[in-house]
Amino acid sequence: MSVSEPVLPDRDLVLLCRDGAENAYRALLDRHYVYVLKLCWRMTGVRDEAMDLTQEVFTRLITSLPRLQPQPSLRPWLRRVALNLCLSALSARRRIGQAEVCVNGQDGDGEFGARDRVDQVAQAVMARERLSRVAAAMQSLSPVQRAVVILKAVDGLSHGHIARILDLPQGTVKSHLSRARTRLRHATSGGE
Amino acid sequence: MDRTDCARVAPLLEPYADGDLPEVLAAGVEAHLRECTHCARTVVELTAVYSSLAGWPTLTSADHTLIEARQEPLAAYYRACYPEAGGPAPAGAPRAPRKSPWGVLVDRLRPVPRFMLGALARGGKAAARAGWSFVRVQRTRNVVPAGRLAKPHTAPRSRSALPRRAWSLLARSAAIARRVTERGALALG
Ligand SMILES: [Zn+2]
Repeated sequence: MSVSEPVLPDRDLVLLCRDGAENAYRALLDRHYVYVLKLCWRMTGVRDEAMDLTQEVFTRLITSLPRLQPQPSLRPWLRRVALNLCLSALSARRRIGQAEVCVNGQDGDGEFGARDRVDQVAQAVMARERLSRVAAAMQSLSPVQRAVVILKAVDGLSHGHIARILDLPQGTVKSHLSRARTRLRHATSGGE
Repeated sequence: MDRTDCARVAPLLEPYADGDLPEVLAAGVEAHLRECTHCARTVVELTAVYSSLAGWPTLTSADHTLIEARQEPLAAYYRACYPEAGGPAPAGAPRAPRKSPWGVLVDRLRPVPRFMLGALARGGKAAARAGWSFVRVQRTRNVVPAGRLAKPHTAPRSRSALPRRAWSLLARSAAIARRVTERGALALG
């Protein structure tokens, strides 16, 4: 299938999608599904929730095709939609008062309660992977801090770029990032 | 090493670890890192935070299987929104889809009642010609399956209780009912 060859930029695939080329849509799934899934996973800390959010992102891609501005890469659009969905899912989680794993990242106190919950998350995954400590530590950050640190660490975006995506002042991005990183550093280096 | 140097360099360690510093400043930080193991370790840890975050989560083969399964409903939804899907577009300016997904859904639902109405109408007419209402014909068919009428020994016990003319009328209407149902099935299929 010529359509699914990776040489076509996302822009062309989006245009083909609009013309009813299923292969083009599948090619976009091949390219970006795992990226979106991992983003949602890092944000929510829960695989199944991340899977559902990812489905929602790619469903929205279909419904948004007519309005989508074709860009060289679809990733910024996917990232924005995914982050917004994750942030509202996390705030809904907080409202409903479900097992809340992301607490008090904003001001840095209430450490005790946070550690309790981090331990709960950590217990589930600790045995499996060395990286579980990062996973657990991520859950001690506020959702926005998580988003900032993911965009920086995984996507390598600049402070200005992150500020635009999350609609925050650059200074806020920097302080979120610094605080988040300190916390993650202490968690991953076994405290110090 | 000089602790005042550490304090001076501290705010630069993070941007240094990210490779965000201009060369002059980066060179200054590097000079300090060569002498100060404390700051050097901080940089290593800062880098490790991001690299381990980028490495998490790792997907298992079970995850990949699940991902593949999850993509099928998405493709199906895409096909539902773009029924003409099937190949790349012809050369030329791409066009926007003619219909919103909602419009597509309505379109897909609409033919069903139309077919059913057609079948009902045809069945009703045929039954009316035979002097039966459609509903009545359907019910008769349920009581006396058309296939059994040719074989008297499989006829329902009530047969002997029916007058001969009533019985043949029932047989005719059952045959009509079967024809009507077949046509209906054709139209719907
Ligand atoms: Zn130092």
